Amino acid sequence: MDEHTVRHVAKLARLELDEAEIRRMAGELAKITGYIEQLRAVNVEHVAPTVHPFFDLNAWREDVVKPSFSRAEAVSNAPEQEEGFFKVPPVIE
Amino acid sequence: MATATTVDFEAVIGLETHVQLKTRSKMFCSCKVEFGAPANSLTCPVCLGLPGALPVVNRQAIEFGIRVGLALNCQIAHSIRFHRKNYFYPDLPKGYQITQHDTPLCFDGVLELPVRDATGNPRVCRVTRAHLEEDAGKSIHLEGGTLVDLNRAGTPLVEIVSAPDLRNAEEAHAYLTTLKRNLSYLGVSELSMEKGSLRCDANVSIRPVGESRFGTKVEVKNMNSFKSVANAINFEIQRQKRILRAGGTLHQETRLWDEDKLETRSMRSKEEANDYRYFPEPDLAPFEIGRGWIDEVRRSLPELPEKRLLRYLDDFKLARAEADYLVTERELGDFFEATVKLYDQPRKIAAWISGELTHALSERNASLADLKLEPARLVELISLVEARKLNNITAKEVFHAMLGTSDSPEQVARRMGKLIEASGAAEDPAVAAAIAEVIAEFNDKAVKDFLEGKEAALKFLVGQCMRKLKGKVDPKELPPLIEKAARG
Repeated sequence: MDEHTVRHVAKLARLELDEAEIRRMAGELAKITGYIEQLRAVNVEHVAPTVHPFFDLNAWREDVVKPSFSRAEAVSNAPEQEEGFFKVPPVIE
Repeated sequence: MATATTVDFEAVIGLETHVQLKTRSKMFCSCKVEFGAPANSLTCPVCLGLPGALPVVNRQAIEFGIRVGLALNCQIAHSIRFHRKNYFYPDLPKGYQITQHDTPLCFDGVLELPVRDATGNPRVCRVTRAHLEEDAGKSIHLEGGTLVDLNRAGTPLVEIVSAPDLRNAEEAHAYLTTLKRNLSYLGVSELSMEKGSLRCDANVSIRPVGESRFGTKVEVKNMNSFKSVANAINFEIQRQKRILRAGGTLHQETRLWDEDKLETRSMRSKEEANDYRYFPEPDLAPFEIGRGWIDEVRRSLPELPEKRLLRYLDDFKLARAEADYLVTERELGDFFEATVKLYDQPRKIAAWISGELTHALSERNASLADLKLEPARLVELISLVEARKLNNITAKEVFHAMLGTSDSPEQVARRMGKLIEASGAAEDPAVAAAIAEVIAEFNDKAVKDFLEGKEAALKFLVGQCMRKLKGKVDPKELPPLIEKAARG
């Protein structure tokens, strides 16, 4: 886990880190990924991967419509709104 | 040794097609799926991505996905799961899209294209996979900000990924029309590029002929019709050739098609290069798709166009082009068969459908349903021609005039003054007057030739009379009347 990787991951996560933080995170994340490397050493050749802690197969619903939020409710937490739309800073310059 | 300027290139094209499924409710929540509803009127904690909200899969979306897979001749997976695809964009409230990664619902399909290769065999394009995912919301980009409507967020989609088997714009176009044709039989999507229920991106690269490795791939987006997909591919192939021939290099990038300027341009995005950090969706357990379910869906499918085409060729003895055309849309074939049931003249009916009906559909940019044409009315119209109450020309006029109305062809024909009434031409003074005029006008030549037994002269005189009568008479009734008048 080098500083370059930390910068990349921070950018993907939209985190602004200064140089000191990047150095600190590189050290901390290296410990975590080091632990994962340790787990990787275990032989799991005959164990099916577990992607889910329980086996609740086929937990689907039927195609039935239920009431939605009102328009006012939908945007009520938005920092900015305009005529029922969420408003965000310009995406395209 | 060939230099870069003289090398011949071939294009390698793969298409990614997104199809919105017309389930009643969304993929992972119970909000209604509807196009054109007021902004943000169809949202809930799940599709707004509010903390703690949990997705639950819509079973119908899986079933529609299976239908799509079967119509593309795919294998259906027995076990599927969902993944998170992480990226930030304002129309993606959760910060990730729930999609499928390593276990697509459908895979290894194939489409036979209505295009032949150099040896005369039909070209084939493999369908690598078709998987389920959710749609994002819609952004409206304005001067001082972007407005976001999340009604569409969470709408079920099938993403269909073709293999890079296509070699030019024509093949890409043929792939899309075949794909749309097959899916139109399923009733699982509106398939409207205009309304965004069918969207297509193209991956285009070129390589020297004979090279087996792929060149640098460019993804082209923002096409709003099959024609613009073809145009964008053609433009992109030429652009890439120009750059390579000039000794330049290509960059892997996403480019947007500009429909006004008819060119692609680089999408300079602030987004990080594709690094989606896929991982299994922890909020959804895996799904087992039983053999029984797949068989049940297979049995519920309508006859698909590939099979229907063969039946039309064999049972109805249609010409290949006519049969091809009749299976392009399920509605056309259904209409054809319903009409044939009433009137056992398949070739005559097919000619009406591929001729005048198609003409009307494209002229009015309408669907068959819009025209309000019932099979019985077409049969009635054909019967009027058989009974010589209309001729081939006036029948076409009546056909177009009756579309969009609920009047019978006979009513329309009478209103238009085109109907040849039972009294017949013999008693019609207008007919007698027209014949007299024509005989006077052509007395020297054509009438003389006719009386000498020249067949062509009679045809000419009939034609002249028809012109004066503006087609309002059955031409078959004229010869005896002309002869009588000529012999005077």
